[in-house]
Amino acid sequence: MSSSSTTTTTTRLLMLKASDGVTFEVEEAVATKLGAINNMVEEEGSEDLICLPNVNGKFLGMVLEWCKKHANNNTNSDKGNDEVNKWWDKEFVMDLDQNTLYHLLMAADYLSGTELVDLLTEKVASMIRGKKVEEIRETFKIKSDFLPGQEEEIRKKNSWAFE
Amino acid sequence: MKMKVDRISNLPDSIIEEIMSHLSIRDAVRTSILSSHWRYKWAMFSKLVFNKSSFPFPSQDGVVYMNEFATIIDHILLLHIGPIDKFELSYAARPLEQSDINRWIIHLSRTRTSIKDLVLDASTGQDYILPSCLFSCQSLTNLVLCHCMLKPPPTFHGFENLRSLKLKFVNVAQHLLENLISSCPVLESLNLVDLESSSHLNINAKNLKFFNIEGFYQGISFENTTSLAEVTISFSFDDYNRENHDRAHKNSSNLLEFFYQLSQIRRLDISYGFLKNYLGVGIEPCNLPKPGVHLHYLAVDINLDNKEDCLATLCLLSSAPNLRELQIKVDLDELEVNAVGTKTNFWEDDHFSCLFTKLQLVKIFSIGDSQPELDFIKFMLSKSPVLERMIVRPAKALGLRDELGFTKKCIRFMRASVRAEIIWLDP
Repeated sequence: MSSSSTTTTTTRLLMLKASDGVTFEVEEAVATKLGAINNMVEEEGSEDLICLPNVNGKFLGMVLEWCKKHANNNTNSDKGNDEVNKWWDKEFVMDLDQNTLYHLLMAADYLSGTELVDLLTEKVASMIRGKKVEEIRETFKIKSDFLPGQEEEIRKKNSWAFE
Repeated sequence: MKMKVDRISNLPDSIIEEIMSHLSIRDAVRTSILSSHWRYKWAMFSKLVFNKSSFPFPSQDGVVYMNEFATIIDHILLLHIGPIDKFELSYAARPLEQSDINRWIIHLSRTRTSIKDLVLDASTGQDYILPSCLFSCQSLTNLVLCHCMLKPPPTFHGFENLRSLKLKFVNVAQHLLENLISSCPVLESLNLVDLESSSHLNINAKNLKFFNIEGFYQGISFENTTSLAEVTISFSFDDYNRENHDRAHKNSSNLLEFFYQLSQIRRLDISYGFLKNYLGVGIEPCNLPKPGVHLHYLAVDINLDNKEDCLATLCLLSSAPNLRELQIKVDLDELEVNAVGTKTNFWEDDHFSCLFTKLQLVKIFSIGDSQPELDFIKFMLSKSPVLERMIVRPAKALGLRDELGFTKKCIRFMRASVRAEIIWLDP
């Protein structure tokens, strides 16, 4: 999206450098959707180059893609925007494999992208909701390390939850 | 390529907590047997919601489960780790023991990391008096109470963080209620539904923005409510009409006073008898000042065959020079009962010589096909120069002939706005 002609203030551009050296040039308004970056930018005399040693370029790119969509959709304050955002969010998490989901979550959490963490944790929750324990284990490759009989005992204690 | 690694178990606790917050208690507890790592993760769950969907019981053996219900909640509260942001108990299907609820409230009020959101909608069988420790929960921002009796202790000085309060079927003495409302300094949203023992209610809340009230009252007044922007009132009256008449004659009209107290009101929705029996009482056709300058949405129930109703509506309209949207619901039952009412066209008299210069949308619902209704449509079309749409929906199918007759008449009406379209909906 090109910046609209009505805004005369030049938007500040930030350089974000990922752990693998990949850099991204983004508008300040986009990057500050992330709480961690917002804090860094608000500090006086902050530099335009921000190093993020805990985030890989691939996932930083995806996080920024999400930020960009939400920043753009929020600028024109129309009623339909919530709908657009929701639809876009749905697309965003639709086909994420677990590896990506995990790294995105870690990146979003590290960068304090509260809304994105909320979206991604809901995605994880949707993979647990209403499922049998065996199905959840299978989905996430969780190995049960309970002793024989132990699992049955816990099940019994909370039998109401396992009906 | 399939993943072989268990990623989810390696997520930090803060994220696991977030995941749990999206799950129902049932789903959360189920994670306790995934592996020993997951054994107590569910207990970080910060929103404890016990309602039908989050805590479903199988329909059979329901009674047995009800007996276990309290034990389960005890168990969960005991094992719980960390803050409880929300506690909701909405299980009105079967009565709960008062002592059980008391115990939970006492626990919640003691929890060091304090509760923000408390919803109690449980059937207790009789009037249940809330324990006074509830009134010491100063961290509360949202409080919903149903089916109980409220008796704040004398030492209670308000909830300093409470933003939203809803009381439904609550028994509370009027002065205690008024005191509760006025002593919550940041209260923004107030919802009062079918309270017992309230007559004329005085609302004093300087930060209140949204107010909804339903039930039986004799009247209502507002004090210091300069932020109040949206008001919904569904009042029913018994025989209080006469008293209001007397009161109103003493000091001009209730309508004027109402607007005087609600200088910032933007949306007003009134139904049942509030207009006729309260606002409209004592209204004289005279030149009103224009007090409702911020009002841009108005919804009213009126009986178009009743002169007082019409007058009150007209007063309301002429008091709101910036009204953009008007929704009228015709009180059809009364229309049929009083079918021999005013035969003259009330609207033709043009009591206020008003012009609705900002009105863009008019919706008229539950309309019949009588003359007063036609007169009203004609009046609104002729007085609204920027009207874009008038949406009309009949109460019941009029039959093709009557409907055609009605619409034919409507087509003939002069329209002050060249852009106005009339949309006729199916009932």
